[in-house]
Amino acid sequence: MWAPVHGWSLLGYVAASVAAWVALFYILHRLPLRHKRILIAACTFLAGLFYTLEFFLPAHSRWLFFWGKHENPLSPLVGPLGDAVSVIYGFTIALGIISLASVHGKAIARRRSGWHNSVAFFAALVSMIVFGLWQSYVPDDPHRATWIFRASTVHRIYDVLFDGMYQPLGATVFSVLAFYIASAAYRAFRVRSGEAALMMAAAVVMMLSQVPVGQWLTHTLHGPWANLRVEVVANWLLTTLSSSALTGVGLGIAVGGLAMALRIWLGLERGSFFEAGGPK
Amino acid sequence: MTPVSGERARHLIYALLGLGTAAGLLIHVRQPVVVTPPTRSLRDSIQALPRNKLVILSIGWDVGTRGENGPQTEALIEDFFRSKIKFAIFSFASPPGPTMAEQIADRLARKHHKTYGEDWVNWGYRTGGVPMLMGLAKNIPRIVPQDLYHTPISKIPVMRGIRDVHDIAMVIEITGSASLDPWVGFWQGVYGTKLGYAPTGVMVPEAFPYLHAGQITGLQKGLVGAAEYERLVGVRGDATRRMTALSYDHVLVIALIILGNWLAIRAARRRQEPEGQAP
Amino acid sequence: MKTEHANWFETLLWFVVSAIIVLAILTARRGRTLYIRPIPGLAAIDEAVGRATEMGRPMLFTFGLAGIDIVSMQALAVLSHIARIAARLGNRLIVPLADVPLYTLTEEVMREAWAAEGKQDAFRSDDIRFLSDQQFAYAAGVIGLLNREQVASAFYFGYFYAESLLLAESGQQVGAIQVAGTPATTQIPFFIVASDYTIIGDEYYAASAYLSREPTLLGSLVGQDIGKGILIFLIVLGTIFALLHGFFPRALPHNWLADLLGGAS
Repeated sequence: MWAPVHGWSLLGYVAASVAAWVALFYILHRLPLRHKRILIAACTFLAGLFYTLEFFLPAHSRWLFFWGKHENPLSPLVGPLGDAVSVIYGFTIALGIISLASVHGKAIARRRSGWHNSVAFFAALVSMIVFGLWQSYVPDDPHRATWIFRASTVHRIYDVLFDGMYQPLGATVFSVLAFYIASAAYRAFRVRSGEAALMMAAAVVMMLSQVPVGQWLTHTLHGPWANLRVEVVANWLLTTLSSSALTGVGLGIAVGGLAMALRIWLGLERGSFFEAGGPK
Repeated sequence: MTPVSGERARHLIYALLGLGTAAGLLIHVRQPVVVTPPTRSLRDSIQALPRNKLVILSIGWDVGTRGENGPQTEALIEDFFRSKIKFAIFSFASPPGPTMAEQIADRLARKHHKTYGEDWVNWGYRTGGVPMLMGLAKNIPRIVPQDLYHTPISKIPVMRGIRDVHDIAMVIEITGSASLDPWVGFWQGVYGTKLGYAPTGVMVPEAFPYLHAGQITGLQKGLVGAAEYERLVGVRGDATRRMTALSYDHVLVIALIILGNWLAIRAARRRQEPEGQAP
Repeated sequence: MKTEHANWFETLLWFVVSAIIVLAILTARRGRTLYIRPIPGLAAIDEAVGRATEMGRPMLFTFGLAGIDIVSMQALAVLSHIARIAARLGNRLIVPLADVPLYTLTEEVMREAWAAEGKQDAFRSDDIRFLSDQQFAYAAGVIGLLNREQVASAFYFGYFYAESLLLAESGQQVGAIQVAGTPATTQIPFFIVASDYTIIGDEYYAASAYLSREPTLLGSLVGQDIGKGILIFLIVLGTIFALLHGFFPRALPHNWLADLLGGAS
């Protein structure tokens, strides 16, 4: 059933899908709001039910799946359903570009403060799209000629955009984090109580254990005293104290997430997005 | 309020950090690197892998965390090439990840005389998240019909006989984001696939519950973990060279914390001292 | 070799915990009064919105890098609350986004909030902006917004990664009052340091119940707590079994509880 099709069959399937989706969108557009919410709740419930049943029903069961090979009939559908989700997500790419173009286009048209940054945005967007797509369909020339119409020029320009601009810009923004950590540490790490002092001591041990110079400070400890080496103490803090605390926090978050997922799945969630009328 | 405060203090801190780190990257001071159990455990589990199966190197990092994850990737690929372990570069979390990892693999391949397609393959980036990973476990050629260079998978020698999760020896996730959970939930938990993890330093505490539960067999703890791994492999790579700068940065932050607290305590004491005490 | 699906114990556990949560919700709907302890971060939201309005400066709300999942659904609930107050007081609320499908939901929530306060004409769709799905491009964009717009209050609710400290420290530098809530445990220390209020762990999933005081949501919280109690009981039981199996192997030659739970013995 899920074998790829080609030629006229493929065109037929695509045309039928487009027609079906156009009809569906028209019907959804004409539906009253109350019916739309019912439809959304029904789709949410069916989608959740599929994955729940697929996971909780066994892979093989003579009793439950008394036909054919006695296999879970939902499992083969997981892959194609995932493909369908990917296709739907692909449609949203255009929406993001439209939003950005709208905001920056208005900034240029109305000459708002900083409009030149919007010009830079369009230049970057267009060049990355053009050269990014172009270079993946043009074979690379290993000799890298410099004539403007040679394929290798496309790769060079793409390399300048990706390796020369995109990568360093991303790394630069991330590196600002290091400076912010230092300024936040100086400003905000205050020992105002016994618990804060304990936390600060643990933080210092952890930081020293991460670097060779910290490990060097206690490298002369041997025998039973070796258990006081900074990397050993840090490992104990991570494996005994921190791990337990994080597991506990993680369990709480997981149960909270389960409750939220149940509410959405069963249509019990409340809030402006989930019911008419909204919050108080 | 501390005497050196606000904008001036911030700028001074930034200057100390920036100039010191730059100096540390240029001037390398050899420092002993102590190998910790999680890193050793990761290397041991990799060395014990059967050579007739493939290792998936899942790239969850991009340009922002290249400073940490890049050396981690390099240390692992160096080990794979030396130990003749075949691997596939793959990503479901980072579109530019496979390209950046391929640059590292290319460079090391020239050093070790390895050939793309025979010693490693690059599956590229695949969308679809968890459903895609579930499908990948059941049928790899269907999810990855061609590699990063648009070559059909069936024509790549290293992919011969690789059909599903049972042909994968191990998955190693190198990441700066939460891309380990899908592997734990849908590969390790379901099929028992071995998992290794190489996160950035900030994510290390969160990784230990997985290590204790046996869900991951080993861990490379950020840049330091990469330096430890390089020591185990026997190379002096990027991670080891960056230890000077890292040591300086950590010591500076500790000093700033101590200084900040000392100045705050001093200011608080001055506020408490009454002015013009009576005899 | 493990099967691809849950075993009978995991299925039973899931049904029991889910049934308890649903029953607690249904019980709460019958009018039972439920108590929820004060959560300072959530209580400060109204104060932060009021402060921004007094200063005549806009506010900013960000989901981080979350896509459409339960984390962002919870964040949408908080956004809806903040948007209603912002609409009521006539203040701007800027919402930069890193996920396009979430952008459509956010616009609907904001539009409904302004409409509910009778101020449809004052709604500015340009204040909801998709920036980039790339982490640091998004962070740079939000930092730019914080500085250019001189935001007075900033709200960070969703799933954050390394950009958390970048955003919070930038907000601190422009003098914004900041409230952060995230289930990402790795980022909580950064928010605690750089934000004024931080919501930790499962307090994040209590946010919608706390702000709305809806019986359904409060009942769900009670069900969650009972579910956590069951898990704690299993942890204690598992610890006892592991100790018995380790120290008295004759008493317990096979740790069948560990097998049931799917863990290593």
